[in-house]
Amino acid sequence: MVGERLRKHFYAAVFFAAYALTSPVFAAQPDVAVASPADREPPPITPPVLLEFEPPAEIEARDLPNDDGTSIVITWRCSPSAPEDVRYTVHFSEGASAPYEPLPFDFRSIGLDENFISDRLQYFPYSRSLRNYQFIIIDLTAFDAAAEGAYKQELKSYNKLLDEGKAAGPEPVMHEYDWDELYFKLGVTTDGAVRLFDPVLHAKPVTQWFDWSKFNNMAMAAIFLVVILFFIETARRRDFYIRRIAGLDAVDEAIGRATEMGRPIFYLCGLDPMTTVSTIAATNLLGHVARHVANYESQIKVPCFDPIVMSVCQETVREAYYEEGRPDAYNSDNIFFITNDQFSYVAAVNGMMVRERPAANFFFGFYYAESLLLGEVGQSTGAIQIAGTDSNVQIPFFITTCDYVLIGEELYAASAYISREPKLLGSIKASDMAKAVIIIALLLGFLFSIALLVGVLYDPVNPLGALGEKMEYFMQLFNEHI
Amino acid sequence: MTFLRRQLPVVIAFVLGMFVLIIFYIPAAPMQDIGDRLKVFVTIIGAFAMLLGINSILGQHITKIRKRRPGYGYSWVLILGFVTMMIAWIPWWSAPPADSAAYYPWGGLENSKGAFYWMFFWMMVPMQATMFSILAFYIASAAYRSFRAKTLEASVLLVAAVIVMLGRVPLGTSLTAWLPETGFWSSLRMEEMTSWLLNVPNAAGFRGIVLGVALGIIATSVRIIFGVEKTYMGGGD
Amino acid sequence: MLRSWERYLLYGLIAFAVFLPLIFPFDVWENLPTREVLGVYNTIENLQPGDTIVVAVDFDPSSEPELYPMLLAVLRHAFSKDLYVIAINLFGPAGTGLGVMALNDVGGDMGKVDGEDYVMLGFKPNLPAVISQLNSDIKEMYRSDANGKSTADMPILERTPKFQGNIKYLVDLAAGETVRPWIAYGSAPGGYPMGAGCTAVSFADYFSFYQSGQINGLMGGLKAAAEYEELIERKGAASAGMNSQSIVHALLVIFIIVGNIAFFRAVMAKRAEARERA
Repeated sequence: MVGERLRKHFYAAVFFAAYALTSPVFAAQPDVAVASPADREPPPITPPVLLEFEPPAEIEARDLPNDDGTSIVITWRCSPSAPEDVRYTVHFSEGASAPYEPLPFDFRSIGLDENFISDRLQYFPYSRSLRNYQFIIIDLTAFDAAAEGAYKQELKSYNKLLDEGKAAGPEPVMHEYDWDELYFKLGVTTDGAVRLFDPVLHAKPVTQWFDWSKFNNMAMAAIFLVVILFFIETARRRDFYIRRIAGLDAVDEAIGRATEMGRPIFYLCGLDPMTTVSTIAATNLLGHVARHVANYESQIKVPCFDPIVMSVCQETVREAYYEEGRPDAYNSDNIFFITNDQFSYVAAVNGMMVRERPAANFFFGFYYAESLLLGEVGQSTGAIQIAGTDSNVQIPFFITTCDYVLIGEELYAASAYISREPKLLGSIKASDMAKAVIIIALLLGFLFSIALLVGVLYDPVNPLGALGEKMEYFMQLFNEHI
Repeated sequence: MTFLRRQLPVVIAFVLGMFVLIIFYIPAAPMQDIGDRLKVFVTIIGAFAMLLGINSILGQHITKIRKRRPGYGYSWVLILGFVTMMIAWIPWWSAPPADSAAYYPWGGLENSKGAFYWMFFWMMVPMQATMFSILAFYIASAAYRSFRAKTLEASVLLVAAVIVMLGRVPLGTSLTAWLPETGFWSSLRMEEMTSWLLNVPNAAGFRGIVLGVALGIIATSVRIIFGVEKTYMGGGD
Repeated sequence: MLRSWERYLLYGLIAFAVFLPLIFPFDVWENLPTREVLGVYNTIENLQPGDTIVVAVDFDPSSEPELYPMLLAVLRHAFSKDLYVIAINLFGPAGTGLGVMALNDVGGDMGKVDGEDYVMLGFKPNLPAVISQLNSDIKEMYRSDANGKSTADMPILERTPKFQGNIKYLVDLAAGETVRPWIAYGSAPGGYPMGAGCTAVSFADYFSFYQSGQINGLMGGLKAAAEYEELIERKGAASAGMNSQSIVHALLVIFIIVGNIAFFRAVMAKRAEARERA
C-alpha cells in the first residue's frame, strides 16, 4: 500500500531528524551529566537491586509524532536484567546542568514489561527488530498544570495567613517552565529509591498538522468516497439490482390496510437524537411513507422522543403532503413531542396504541429496552408491524413481535429501496464493495494468523522471515489502539 | 426562498461535514478547539428545541381540554404534573451554608430533603420501574407465541433459547451441577453451554451486523454530506 | 395471535411466579459465581486498605432494579476492605440521586464519613471530555460534589486529586453506552484496571470488552448482583430476586413447550382435516 510506504518514509525522516537534533545535545552534555556531584543525584543510598540493574541501551528522546505539539517521547531498548518490583521512571531538570528532580506531577512509573513500542502503531512503525523497545510519553502541559496547581495552593495559604493577620511573606509567584529548557533522565526505581541513567535527554515538541497514523484511515475513506461517487454516477446510466427487502414491500400493503380500516398509522423514529444516522434514516423513510399516506388519504401519527426530531419530522411530512398535492390534509398536530424520558414515552405511546388501535405501526431508528414493550402492545392490538433498527441488541425483540424487520444496515438502504433513485442505489452498491473488501481483509487475517502459527513451529524467533513481518504488521493495523 | 430552503442547508451540511471530517486528521490544537466548539452548538440547539417540544405537548393537551375531547381529564393531570415538577426543580437560593458551593432549600435533585427529590424518588422511580418490569410479562407472551419449532432453524433457535434461559439462573445451573467442573464433561454444564452460545455464535452474528451497520453509517453520512440524500430536510428528491 | 384469556393466564402465572418467592423466601439453589463476576470481586478483594476506587453510577431509575443491588454490593465490599470510594455519574442527571442514596445508606451503615471516606461527584454531560479531565484533575471539573459541598478542601480529594496514578480500580455500572468511553478516555490512558456491570440485555454486547481484556470483570444483570452478594456473604435484594427469576425462566421454558405442543396439535389437526377432505 502507498500509505504504508509513505508512513515508513515519514518515520524514517522522524528518526533521522530526532537523531540529528538530539545528538549534539548528547555530545555536549556527557561531561555535565557525569560530572554532576553525587549529592545532587536524588537517592543518597541506592539499593543493590538498582545498582546491579544493567542500564538499557539506546535511550533517546524525541518529539512525539502525530500529536498537537505538547509531548515528547523517550524510547530505549529493554534491559536484560529483570528484577521484581523495579520500574522505569523519569526525572527532569530545568537547564542542562541543573540537578535532576522527580517530575512535578503524578507520574505512573512503567513496569519492565509494559509500554512496548510495537503496541503503539499510532506513534511508532511496526517492525520485529523494534520488539524489545519500550517508551514513555511525557506530556509537557502537565508541567504547566502542576505549576498552576502549586501556585493556587500557595496563594490560598498566603491569603489565609493574610486573613488571619499573620506575616505572610512575599506574594507567591507562579513558576513558569520553559519547555525548551527541560532536560530528562531515564531511571529505575524501587521503594522510593531511584537510579538515573545517562545520557541527558532533550527534545523539542513540534505541532503536527497531519496525523500520519491516520493516513491509512484517510486513504481508505478517500477511496470509499471515490467509489461511492463513482457508483452514484454509474447508477444514472444503468440499473442496479437490489435484493428484495420484504419489510419494505409490505409498507404499501400496511398503508392500504390502514386506509381500508379507517385507522391511523403510527410511525416512530426511535429514541436517538437527530445527530445519529439511524434517526436520519428513519426520517428519510418517513418522507416516503408520508407520501404514500397522503396518496391513500390515510392518517399518520408520529409521536416523538426528541424535539429536534419532531421539528424535522413535521417538515418532512408537510413537504411530502405538499408534493402529493394534499397540503389541506396535513395536520402538524399529528407529529408531536411526548417526552424525553424513555419509559414515560413508552407508556404514552402504548396508551395511544391501545386507545386508537392503529392499523399499522412502523418502528424505525434506534431503540433501547422499550422495543419489546412497543412491539408486544402493538401486536396485541392486531396492527401490522414493521420495524427497522441498527440496535443489534433489540433486533431479536422486534423479530418476535413484528411482522417484518429490517436488520441493521437495511434501515439505511430503505430510503434508496423505496425511492429507487439511482443516486441512492449507487451508494448502496458502494457499501457492498466495501463489505467485499472487509471480507477479503478478514480472510487474509485468518490465513496470515494460520500461516504465522505454522511458521512459529519452524522458526520461533522470526517466523516466515520478512513476509511474516509484513503479515504481522497487517494484523496489527486492525488492532484497536485506544 | 428556495435557496434558503434547498441549497443553503446542503451547502452548510457539506462545508461543516467536510470540515469535521478533515480535522479528524489534524492533531494541532487550534483545529481541535474549533471542532469542540462546533459540537457545543448541538447542545445549544437542543436546549432551544426543547421549547418547541414543550410547546407541542402543552399545545396539544390544552386544545384537548378546550374542546372537551374524550379523556381530557388526563390532560389536566399532565399539565399539573408538568407545572409541579418544574416549580419544584427551580433552585430557590437562600444564603448558602459556609461549606457549600450552591444550596437548594427545596429544589433540585441535590437536596435530598427537597420536594423535587421526594417526587422523583417516590413517584418517578417506581413508575419507571413498573414500566420496565412489564417487560417480564411481555417476554412471556412473546416467547409463548413465537418460539415454535416450525422449521429446523427455528428448532435450533428454540433449543438455544432454552439453554440460555436456564443457564442464566441458579435453578438451571443446579440442574447440571452434578457434572464435573473440569474435563470434557464440564462443557455440558448449563453455564458453560450458555457462555459458549453467547460468546461464539451470538458474538459472531453481532459482529457481522455491526460491520454492516458501520459501513451503512459511512455511506449514509457521505450521501448527506454531498447532498445526495435530502429527504430528512423535507426537501424530497 | 394470542387469545386474550391465554394472555391473561400467562400474565397471571408470571405474576405469581414473581411474587410468591419474594413473599415466601427459600434457599435451595446455589448461585455459583461466574468467572466474569469473580473478575471484579477478586480485584477489589486484592486491594490494600487505603486504596481508592471509582464507582461510576451510570444508570438511572429505569434500570435501578438490576444495577442498584450491584452498586450496593460493590460499595459494601469496598467499605469492608477500608477502601476509599469516589462515585460519579456521567449517564444522566437522574442517576446522581441513586448514587447519593446508596453511598449514604451503605456508608452510614459501615461508619464511613461523606467527604472523607467517600464522595459522590454528581452528573456532568459530555462524557469523553469529563473523563479525560478527571484523569488529570478532579477538582477542576467538579467544584462541588453532588450535595453542593465544595470540593476545595475535601479530604478524600486531597488524597486523590486525580484519577491517573491514584486510583486502583474503576467499576462502571452502565445502563447505556458508557463503558466504551470509560475504556477509551479513562482506563486505557490512565492506566488503571476497569470492571463493568450492565443490564442482562446488554451483557452479550459488552462481552467483547471482557474477551479483549479491556475490562477484567463483567457483571450482567440481577444474577451477577446476586452472585456478588453471595461472594460478600450479605444477601440482599438481588439474591431475593434470584428465586423469582429462576422460577420465571423455568415457567418460560414450560410456556414454550406448551406453545409447541399446541402448535403441533394444530398442525396435526390440519393435516387430518386435509386427509379427510382428500
